[in-house]
Amino acid sequence: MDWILKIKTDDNQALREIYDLCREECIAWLQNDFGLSVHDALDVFQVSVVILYDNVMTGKLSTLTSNIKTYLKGIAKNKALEMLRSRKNRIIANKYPVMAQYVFEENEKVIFEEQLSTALMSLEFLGDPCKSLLQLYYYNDLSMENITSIMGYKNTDTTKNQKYKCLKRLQNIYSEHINKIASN
Amino acid sequence: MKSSQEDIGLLEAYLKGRLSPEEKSALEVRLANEADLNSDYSDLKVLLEGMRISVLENKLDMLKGLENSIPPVAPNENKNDSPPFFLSKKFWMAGIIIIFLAIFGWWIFKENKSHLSEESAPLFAEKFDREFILHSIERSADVLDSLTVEQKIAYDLYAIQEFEDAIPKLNQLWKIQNDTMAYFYMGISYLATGNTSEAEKILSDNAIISNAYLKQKADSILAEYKK
Repeated sequence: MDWILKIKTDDNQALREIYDLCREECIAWLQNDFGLSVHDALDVFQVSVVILYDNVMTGKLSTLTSNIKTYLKGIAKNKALEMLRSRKNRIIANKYPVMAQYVFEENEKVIFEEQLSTALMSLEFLGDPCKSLLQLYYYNDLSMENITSIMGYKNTDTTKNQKYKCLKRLQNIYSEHINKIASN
Repeated sequence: MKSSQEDIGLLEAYLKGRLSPEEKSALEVRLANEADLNSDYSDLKVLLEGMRISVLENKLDMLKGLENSIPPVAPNENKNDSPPFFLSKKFWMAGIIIIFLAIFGWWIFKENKSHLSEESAPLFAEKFDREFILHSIERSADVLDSLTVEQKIAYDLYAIQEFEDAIPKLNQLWKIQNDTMAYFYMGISYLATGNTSEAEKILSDNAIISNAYLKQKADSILAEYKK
């Protein structure tokens, strides 16, 4: 099974299959080897599946040299150790959602947490269809033809114009919020 | 966003690493000189990461929904909510108990080695020093000891009733030096440790009964033991 191709072409179905395939073994392993509770093991496992997905989509993982379970366990191990370390150091749970925290940590030297949380909030404010259109183009890296078909637009020119307008609207919302924060 | 649609396309390609080295250099020069383009680039970078977070949060929600629709994970009875086994109280308690049992067992073994068998204990307690030690146990600085070093060691072990340790040494003396006294002591040692058949075999052996003094001692001990 070419999991990378499957994730790129049918992400939701691929994630469901990976989840079913690895869930039991990975959760038992997290409990046995790291002493995590079922609840914590489940949290770590779910986040690890999403990070696997992100690694494929951002191009960090282009070829799978090991079994999908082994790769997933590698991510889960780091996440479990991170969880145990933060408990040991009594670090208070972060105010941001878990995946936001993951992206913050990756960008901490380049982008401020406040900028990222404002961008996230602006995107929610923007809403659909703009939000989905931009995500399909920027994150899923789909072609204009694919997006045109998914979004049901007339042709690729319409999609291109729509994408440009959506991006402008998003940036306006973002600038407004960030300026407000700066003036406070 | 002040940049044209074409410049936005250029910035997107730059962020995705899809520009040729020449295009990349040319854009970097423009970014250093054009404030609006640079501002749009900074915003686009942040907005793209925001989109990434949003997608990932959606995927995580989807997996949580999936989890709710399937049977829950059976808790691992052995490990649930507990630290790794080597850090658990059970591990340390088991370790302490094993060490305690090992020390206790060793102590019992050590004690038993010099203990007499149940049957021979009364006999040896009453008569051993007086009747079963046939060699001189007194040492004097001005009288030379007639015993060899091996004999002294074996006889002394016998005299202090360390029979288990004495037996192999007495056996050596008997086999190598044909020491009849050592052979007699070996018979008594077997009797003391409960190996009656071996004791009887030795104490009624020709080597012993051919010596009138040893025969008389052996007969009296065996007769008394059998009572």
